[in-house]
Amino acid sequence: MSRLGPGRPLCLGVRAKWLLIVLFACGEATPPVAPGLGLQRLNRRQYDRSVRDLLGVTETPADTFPEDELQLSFDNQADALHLSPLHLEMYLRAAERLAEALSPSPPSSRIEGTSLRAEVGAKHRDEGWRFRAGTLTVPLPTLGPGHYRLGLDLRALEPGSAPTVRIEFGEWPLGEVQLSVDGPALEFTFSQTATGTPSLGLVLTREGEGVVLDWVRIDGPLDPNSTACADRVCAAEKLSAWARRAFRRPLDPDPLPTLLSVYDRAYQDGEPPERALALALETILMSPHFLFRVEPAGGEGASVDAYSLASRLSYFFWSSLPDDALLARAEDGSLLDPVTQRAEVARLLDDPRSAGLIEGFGEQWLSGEALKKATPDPGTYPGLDPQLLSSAGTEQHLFLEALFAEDLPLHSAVSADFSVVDPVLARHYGWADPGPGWSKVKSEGGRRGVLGQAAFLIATAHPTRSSPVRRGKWILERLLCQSPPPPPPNIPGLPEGPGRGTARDQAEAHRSRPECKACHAAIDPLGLALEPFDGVGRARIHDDGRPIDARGQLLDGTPFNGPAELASVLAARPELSSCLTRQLAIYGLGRGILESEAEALTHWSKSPGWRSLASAIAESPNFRAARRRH
Amino acid sequence: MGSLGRRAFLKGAGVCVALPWLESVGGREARAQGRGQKARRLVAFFAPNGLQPDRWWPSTTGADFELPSVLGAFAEQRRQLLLVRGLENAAADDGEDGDHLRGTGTFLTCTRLPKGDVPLANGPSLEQVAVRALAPGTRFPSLQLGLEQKGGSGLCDADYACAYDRHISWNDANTPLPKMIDPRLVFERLFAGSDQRMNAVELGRRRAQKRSVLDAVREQAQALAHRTSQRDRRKIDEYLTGLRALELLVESEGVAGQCAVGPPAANNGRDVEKTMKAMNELMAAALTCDLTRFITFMIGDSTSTRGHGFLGVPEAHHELSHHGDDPKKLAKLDAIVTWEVAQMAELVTRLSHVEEEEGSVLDHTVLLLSTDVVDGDRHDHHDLPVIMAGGGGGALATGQHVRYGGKEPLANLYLTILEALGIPAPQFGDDGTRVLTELRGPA
Repeated sequence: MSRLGPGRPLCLGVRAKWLLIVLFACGEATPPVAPGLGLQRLNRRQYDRSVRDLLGVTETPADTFPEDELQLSFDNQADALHLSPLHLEMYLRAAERLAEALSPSPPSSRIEGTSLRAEVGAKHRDEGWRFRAGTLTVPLPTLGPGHYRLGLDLRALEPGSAPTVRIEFGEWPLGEVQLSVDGPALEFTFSQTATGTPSLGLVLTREGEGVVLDWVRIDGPLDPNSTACADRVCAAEKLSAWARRAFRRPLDPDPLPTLLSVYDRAYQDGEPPERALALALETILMSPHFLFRVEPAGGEGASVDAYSLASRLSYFFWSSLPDDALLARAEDGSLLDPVTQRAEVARLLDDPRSAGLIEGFGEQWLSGEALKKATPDPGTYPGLDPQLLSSAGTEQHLFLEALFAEDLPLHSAVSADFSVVDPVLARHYGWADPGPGWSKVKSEGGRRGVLGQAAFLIATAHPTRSSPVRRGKWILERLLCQSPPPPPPNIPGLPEGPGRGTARDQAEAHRSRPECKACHAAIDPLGLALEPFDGVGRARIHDDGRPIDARGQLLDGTPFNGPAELASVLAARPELSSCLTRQLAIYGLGRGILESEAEALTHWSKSPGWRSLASAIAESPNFRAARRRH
Repeated sequence: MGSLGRRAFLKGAGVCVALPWLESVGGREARAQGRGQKARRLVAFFAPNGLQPDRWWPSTTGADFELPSVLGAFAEQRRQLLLVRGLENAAADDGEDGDHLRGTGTFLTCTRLPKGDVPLANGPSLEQVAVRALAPGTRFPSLQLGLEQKGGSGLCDADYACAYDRHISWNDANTPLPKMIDPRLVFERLFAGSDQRMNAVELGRRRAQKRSVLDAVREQAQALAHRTSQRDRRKIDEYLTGLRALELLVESEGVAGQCAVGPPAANNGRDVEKTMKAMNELMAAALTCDLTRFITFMIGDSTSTRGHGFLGVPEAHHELSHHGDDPKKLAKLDAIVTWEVAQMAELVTRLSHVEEEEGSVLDHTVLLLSTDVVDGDRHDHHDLPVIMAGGGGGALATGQHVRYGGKEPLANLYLTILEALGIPAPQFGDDGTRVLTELRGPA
């Protein structure tokens, strides 16, 4: 354990079998590792929010990406964010869809030069699309009324020559152009007033100098009010702006020439300009500078540059890339000034995008992922509202949002006597109907904080029953940062189904075994205190036909009876605030906490509330520390 | 850089020589000698929480073994079965706690895992060894599929990294290959990738454009690799490896789809039975269309707690697997194993119905199913049961039950499978050193 995760094991007196683990955990600190670690790949949430903020799209393409590996219970830890070939494949698919949505190609038809015959009478000398004299007639498809764009790749055949070609659309001259061997594709616009099948005439004005026609493209009908970016100047502007935000810093060398070369290649290849732009945008979205958070490494004790700091802040508070205002603070360097940084921290937290923090931190810390995967058995729990799981997730989110928005004390996570519910949850909890939508209401029936919420109670349950062991273990790990060692092998599980006895009977059977007792004496009472809530979080007073006994005590003898008293007892524990601080710090820093950071942790944990805590972490030197070179 | 270049060349070469199998040297040789066919495909099923084989494994060995009811789904395909018992995965046995995790992480690697907060180190897994040796040049070098992605606390068994818990496929020591669990997404990936109306010229243009995108980002990644730390270089290498796979995919665009199946029915992902059925259809299609030749399938993740309500067993699987010899629980576990085996049997049947040159697709496909711990209640890793099928075209001696002493390395079975695939390998994992000649077919 070179780093301290949320799980610092309990130092219990246990059988020799576990001695090793316990000594390991309670022994001297091992030397700290470098803060920062490897390149951080955007995780799924960060990808979705980044493309949303970058491109203004509402899709969530990361739903199709492989799930991110968790480390220290969080999905944003640099070292665990691997990149498999499947990731890149899914990134490419997402990039293609996003780019097409951002720069949709108009209807387009294309005529290959190779398919044409020159109608140049007796003077035609060359095959098909090459000609040295006369007129090449290109039959076009039937076009309805509307605006069209004509593109054609017409060049001189011989280097050094400069043939001139008159281009005629039906009877109308579109223009006269002088060609070279490597000139850009030509583009004209025209309007068609009635449906017709026009043809294009290419008239060589001087005989003898050969030209070659590679392709002709007709785009349209085009929306005359379209704001689509359909020329190279506009494309360059767009790409510059996207690249700056997507890469979150100016790159050296400037990426624009590379992006424009992708654009030019596609355009010269006969793609409509919109499609060429889409391909260049794909390049941005596939770039390592977008998919990874690239930070220059620094020396020992160095702080990061302003751009890295801007990204660290935006990914902490928004799970997304910096906005223009934040990038501007990085560009002029003012973000490195503590006063400016503080103002930015406040601005980011006030912004609605801070839902990214609630979602990211909340889902990991409060096991939202486990909630999404929960499968309560319909046979055991008939008549559950199909909305229940999603409402439970929303309740948790809104509750956490309130903790941050109102800067409520850290312990209110477990002790708060309010929640935010909809009619589905109110009915589920047996509370008065609060009316449609979501309402902040006073909790009843002993429900306090997250431990009284359906989200937690379901996420920690088995499909057919509540699990005091899982609930107790979760409280130890996530609220007190104590992680019991795993059970030894060859231990049978508990009996299932009716007649199994109450959870307490089962726990007692468990604890009668010496190899189980040491840990379960710490785990079980916490979970048993929550037995008045069943496996889906409904209130109950009986289990397996017998009244529930929700009494218990902490290892130090502090007694409690039922959920509300458990909440008060937990709220009074000093470990609670230091553990919650540790969890938010691991999330915010994207790495484990070093032994050398114990003092900082203590300092942060004295923050008066959740919002202050987040600010304290973000404004600390630890947050600014540069990654080491090795 | 030198080794990267060589690997890239090998991969590229794979595309150029992607001829029909029979035209390859091995095929011609086998035909010339009038011997059976080597296998060319491999499907490995992982079943979590043990198989409790003591309850049902046949007592008689040889060809006349008695077919237990747990294997009932194979009644018609009995001669395709190859039952192997008495193997040991010593790498999974390495330590006191974390048996499930180690049994899962080492399932196809037979390589000891490091504990604690250290970089991942494992593999490569069996099918990746084969992919590397054969460079099959199929659109997808391999597929990783499964039925669930374990959520939960992220604090994994006995202080090991969680990655070992939910990946059986490992590209190399530190890159686990994530699996796909949504059949609709798998379908889209396999069959809906490209526009069937595109002609060859359009396809060629599209490929060139994609190449220019990939070339541009590769240059950026290479520039980045030059000025980053060792630690970052590893990530960049993962990125470059992925890019090479993408290039192959772009090159083969348009070749899929000629034998596509219909899209799977909508499913909220919680209906395990429907999901499994759809996955089996997709696997059969992917193999018979030669979109891939190597598939790993996790019926569940390590210590899966998924219930099997559709079998009348809604209880959490892992908790149930600690059966304490309770007959009711054992009967329920039997029902789960029977279902798991039936899923493999269904794929076997599907593959047996598709003819290709010199036999059925099944004749040239090796399938296996095994588990992380022998018995969920005992957490043991020796006397491991492996249910195999296919490869009856000559690669393996199917239609028999072979029993080893309990300590025969599982890695030796993998060497035998590699041989059946035409890959001579001197060793595999930590302890694979010899081929199990009893399992050898005539090829």
